[in-house]
Amino acid sequence: MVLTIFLALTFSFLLIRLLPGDPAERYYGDPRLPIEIKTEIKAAFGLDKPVYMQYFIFLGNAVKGDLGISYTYRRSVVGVVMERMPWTLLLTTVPTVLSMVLGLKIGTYIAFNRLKFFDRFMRSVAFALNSVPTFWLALLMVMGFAFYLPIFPLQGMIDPLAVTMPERFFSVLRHAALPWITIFMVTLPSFAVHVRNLTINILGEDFIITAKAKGLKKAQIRKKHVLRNALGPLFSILTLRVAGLVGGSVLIETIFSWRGMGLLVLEASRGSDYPLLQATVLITIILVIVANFVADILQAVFDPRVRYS
Amino acid sequence: MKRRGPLKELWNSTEGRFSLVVISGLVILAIFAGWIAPYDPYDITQRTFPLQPPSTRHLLGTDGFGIDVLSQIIYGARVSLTIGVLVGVGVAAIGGFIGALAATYGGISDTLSMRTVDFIMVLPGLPIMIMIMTTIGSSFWVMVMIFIMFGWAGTARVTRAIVLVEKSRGYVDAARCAGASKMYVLMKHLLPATYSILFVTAAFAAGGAILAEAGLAFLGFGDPKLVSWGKMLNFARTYNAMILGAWWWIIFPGVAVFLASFSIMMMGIALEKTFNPRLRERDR
Repeated sequence: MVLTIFLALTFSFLLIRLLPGDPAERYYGDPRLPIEIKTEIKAAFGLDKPVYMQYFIFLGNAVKGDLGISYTYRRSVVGVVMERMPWTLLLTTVPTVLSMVLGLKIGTYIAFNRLKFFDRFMRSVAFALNSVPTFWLALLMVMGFAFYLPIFPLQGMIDPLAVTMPERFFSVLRHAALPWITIFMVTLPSFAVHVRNLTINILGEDFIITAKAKGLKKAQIRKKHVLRNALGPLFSILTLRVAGLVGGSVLIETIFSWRGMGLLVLEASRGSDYPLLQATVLITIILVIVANFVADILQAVFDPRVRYS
Repeated sequence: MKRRGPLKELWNSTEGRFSLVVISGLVILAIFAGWIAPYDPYDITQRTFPLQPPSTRHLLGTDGFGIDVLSQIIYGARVSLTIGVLVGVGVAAIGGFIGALAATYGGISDTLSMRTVDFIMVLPGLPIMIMIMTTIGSSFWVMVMIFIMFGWAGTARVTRAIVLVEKSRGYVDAARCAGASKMYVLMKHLLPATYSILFVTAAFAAGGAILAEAGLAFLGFGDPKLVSWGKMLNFARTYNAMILGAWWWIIFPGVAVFLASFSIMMMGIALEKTFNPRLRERDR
C-alpha cells in the first residue's frame, strides 16, 4: 500500500515537472515583476534548488500532509480539497447506498425468476444504460424536470436566500434531489444485474443442491447460502466504486454545478492551478488505495477462504 | 451445431443484425461525410441564422453559430468511430498480450502485471485523464493513448484467466514435451485460444471509448480542431441552448453517441453469443 502511494506521488510529481516553463512564472503570472521579488518567490517555494532536491522536499511535505499552495485560492490545497469532499460524499453516497440495498433485493429476485419478463426488462435497461452517456442523461433530466417542468432547481447546491438551519437543510435536499435521482437511475440496474449473475453462478454450486436436498425452504437458501456467498464478490465491486464515491463524478457535478471534488478538478484545470489539480487527484488516489487495503482486510475477516488462498 | 462463416452467424441473431446495420451505416456516413452531409461544418461561409428549429432546409436545425446540426453529426461520426476502432484494437492487442504473457510465464512477471491491473482498475479515471490532458495538452492522439492506458487492464485480466485454463489442457503439455518453447506455445496455441474473447472485449472497449471521448469533449478537452458529438454538447451547454429552447442542439448529438456506442456494444454481445453458445441457454 505504501509503495503504491509512493508511486502515485512520484508519478504526479514527474507529470507536473514535465511541463514546459518555470512553475514560478506560472505562480506570479505577470512577467514584469521585479527580478528581486521573482528570486524571493523562487526561494520561498524551494524552486532554486535542483529537481531531485525538490522531489525529496515534495515527498517530505506530502508525508506531513502538505501538498502545496493553490494558485487561485492562495492557501493550502489540502484545505481546499477537504472543504469540497463532504459535498461530493453527500452527492454520491446517498444514491449509491440506496441502489445497493434495492439492487440486492431486485437482483436476487430476478435471479430466482430468471428469464421472466422482469428479468429480461431489467437486463435490457442495464445494457442500454451502459451506452447512454451519463452526462447527456443528466442534461435531459435537467431539461425535463428543472426547465420545462420546473420541479427542481436548475443547478447549484443551496439557495443563497436560505438562512436558518432547517431552511438551508431543505434547500440542499431540493438541490441534491435531481443529481441523486440521476445517479440512482444509472447505478441501480447495473448493480441489480451484477447481483443476478452472481446469484445464478452460486445457484449452480453443489452446496445449493445439498441444501435443497436437505429440504430447506427457498427463503432460507436465499438468505443463508446465496447471500452469504455473494457478499465477497459484491464487496469487491464496491471497492471498484470507491474512486467514484470519493472523487465524485466530474460530469454530473459539472451539469448540476455541484461544487464538489469533480468540479474542483475541472476548475483547477481551467485555471491552470497545477498544485490544486495535483492535490485533488492525489488525495482521491490515496483514499482509494487506503479503502482497498481496508477492504482486503475486511474480506479476509469475513470470508475464511480468502485467508487460506 | 454446424458452424458457418462468422459474419453469417452474426447476421442470424437479432443483436448481430441490428449492430451490423447500424455500424455499417455509421461507417458509410463517416467515410462519405463530404458527399452525404448537406453542409460543410468546417466551412465558415456555409453558416446561416443561428438556432433555427428543425425544418426541411436544416433537418435537425442549426446550432448557436448557425451551423447545420445534421452535418455536424455526420462529420462527428469520424472522430467517434476512429477513436472507437483505435482504442478497441489497442486495448485488445496490449491487454491480450500482457495477459497471455503473465499467464504463460507466471512468477514475478505475473504478480507484477496483475498488481498493476488491480491498481489501474481502482483509479479515478476521468480526473487523472483531465490532469494528464491539462499538463500535456489535449489532442486526438493523446486521447487515444490515455484510453488505451486505462483500458488494457480489464482485458489483460480476462485473457490471463483464459490462458491459465487453456494452459492446463493436455495438448499444451504435448507441445511442451515435443520440445516447443514457451514463446512458441504462447504464439501458436495459447493466443489463438483467446481471439474470440479479445474480439468481444475490443467491442466493449470501443463502445466505452466513444462514451469517454464524448465525456471529455463535453468538458472541453476535445481536439480543438475537430467537430465531435461531445464538443457539440459542450457548446450547447456553454451557450445555454436549454434556456434558449434549442432542444434539438442537445438531444440529437446525444442520440448519436448512444447509437454508436450501443450498436458496438451490441456487436460485442452478439459475438459473445456466437463464440460461446453455452451462454445462450443462460441469458436468452
